Amino acid sequence: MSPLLANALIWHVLLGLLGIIAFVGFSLLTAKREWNTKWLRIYSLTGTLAFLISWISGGYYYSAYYGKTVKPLILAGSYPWIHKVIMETKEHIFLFLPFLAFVAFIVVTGGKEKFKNEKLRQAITGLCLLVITLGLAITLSGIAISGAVTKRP
Amino acid sequence: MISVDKQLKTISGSLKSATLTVLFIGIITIAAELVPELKNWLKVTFTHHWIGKSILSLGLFMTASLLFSVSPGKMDVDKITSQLRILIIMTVVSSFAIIGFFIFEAFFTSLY
Repeated sequence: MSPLLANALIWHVLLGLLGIIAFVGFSLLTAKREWNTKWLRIYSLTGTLAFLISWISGGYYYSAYYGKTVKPLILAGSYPWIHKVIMETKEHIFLFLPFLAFVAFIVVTGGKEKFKNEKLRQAITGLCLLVITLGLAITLSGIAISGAVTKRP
Repeated sequence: MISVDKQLKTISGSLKSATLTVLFIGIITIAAELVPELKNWLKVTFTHHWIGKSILSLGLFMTASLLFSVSPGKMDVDKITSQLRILIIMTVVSSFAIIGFFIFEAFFTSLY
């Protein structure tokens, strides 16, 4: 694996984790009675940008290296379903994250008046928790995929 | 200073387009597996099927956001709340559709 590909993979993972952490911060803010909209915007924008760059970085690694080199090793190993189910699911569900994160950012911009509506607050919190849940599922999938790679004999 | 109505319409536009996009991702993911010609078209046009899905999703989201945000009609917080809930539900539905399909394809299609 070239240094460029190694960096692409590493930054994909790190930025994905940063995105999740940003939304954990977002969720902690939504638990408060009074919402700090400035920090909600900062956290959601950070998460959006992190997921966007992770998308590009991971996409480069996936299209340039994973299919040709890693996928055959997993399919030839003891757990081929790790690619057929876990990786296939992961690579497509990941596509949701940048859009969900961006929407969270858009929703918390503008006037604060709308946040007096308790149902809206609950829905925003729900969106945030969905982003965290999907992010964690994707992270665990990545760990399983890495573990399923066996070296060529 | 953007009016409250304009702000809410922008939010609504992004919510509706995000909902459309997550459904599109689910549909094109499953369709590309069932129709090899589609997957091949994505690969030939965009160099890789996944890159094609990424670009098409992004294009759909941006176009739909713009169109929805300028569509006529008034917007209020209750409608925004409903649209947020629909987005959450459709994301969950699309996620289960994707994983359900790949589980079925990996473990049950070999029976046929």
